[in-house]
Amino acid sequence: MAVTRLGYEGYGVRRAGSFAGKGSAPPGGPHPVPNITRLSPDGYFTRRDGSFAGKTTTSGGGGAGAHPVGTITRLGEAGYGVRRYGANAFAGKSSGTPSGGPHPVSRVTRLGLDGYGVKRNGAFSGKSVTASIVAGYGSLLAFWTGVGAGNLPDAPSIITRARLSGLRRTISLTGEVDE
Amino acid sequence: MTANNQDFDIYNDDDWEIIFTVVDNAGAAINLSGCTEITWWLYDGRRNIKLTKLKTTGGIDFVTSGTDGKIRVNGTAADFDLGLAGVMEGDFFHGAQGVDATGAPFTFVAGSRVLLKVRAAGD
Repeated sequence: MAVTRLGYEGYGVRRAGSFAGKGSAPPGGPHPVPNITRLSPDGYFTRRDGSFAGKTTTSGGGGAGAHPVGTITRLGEAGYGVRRYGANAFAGKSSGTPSGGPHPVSRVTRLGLDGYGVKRNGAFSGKSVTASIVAGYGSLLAFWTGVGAGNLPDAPSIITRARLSGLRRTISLTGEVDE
Repeated sequence: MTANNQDFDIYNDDDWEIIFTVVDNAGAAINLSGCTEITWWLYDGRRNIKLTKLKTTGGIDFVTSGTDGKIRVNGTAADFDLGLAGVMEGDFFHGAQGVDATGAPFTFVAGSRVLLKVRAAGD
């Protein structure tokens, strides 16, 4: 099996017990995952205690304990899209409904920032944002598109000046034509 | 000769209008009522046109009927708003030209300076 990169102690790695270098089906003890493209810091999609590595996404029925995800495209920071602590599930259990213990999500495409489209405690993924967001940037007004139930506004379409004097100035000049 | 000393300044957050009285070399008002087009430009020091007002699109109209040589260039603060690029400010120039009933162009202002000022607190 291939481990492309290993994390630091405690980060995606089980401190006690051997894990590396084992074959695909050695008996006993923790095993590395078939393919880890990147390991996250401690506590981020990682369970510090208990075995987690080496189990495949299809081994959900393997009883208690954590299982690695199949695909993580990007890892979030602490508290952002990730539940750091908790006795049970922390982020979107996989559809395979493996028994017991926390399970990572099967696929995380993008993790939001804290408070925006993310519920820190409890389930968060898959829920839409219904609250509109009003953002102020100094003297600028931002008009957001896509605001509405289930839509997360993503970009300002028009930014214009908020401050106009409301005054009207008349300038009287003379033009002269050569004849 | 064509007027070239018709400088003015304006705050770029003000709406505005310029009233021109167009005269001949002797100072007599010119009848502009037959003009098919009148154009006013604001341009920068590199002669890049930044703003254009046309009679045919309503940006310029006669104060009365044009027989008295008076025209009005209409503008708002939005004319100086460049959106994401910011707001026009600083030194510019303006000029104006008409086209008479025979199709002959005539220039009555050229190369006069315009200062677009940013309003500070208390202005």
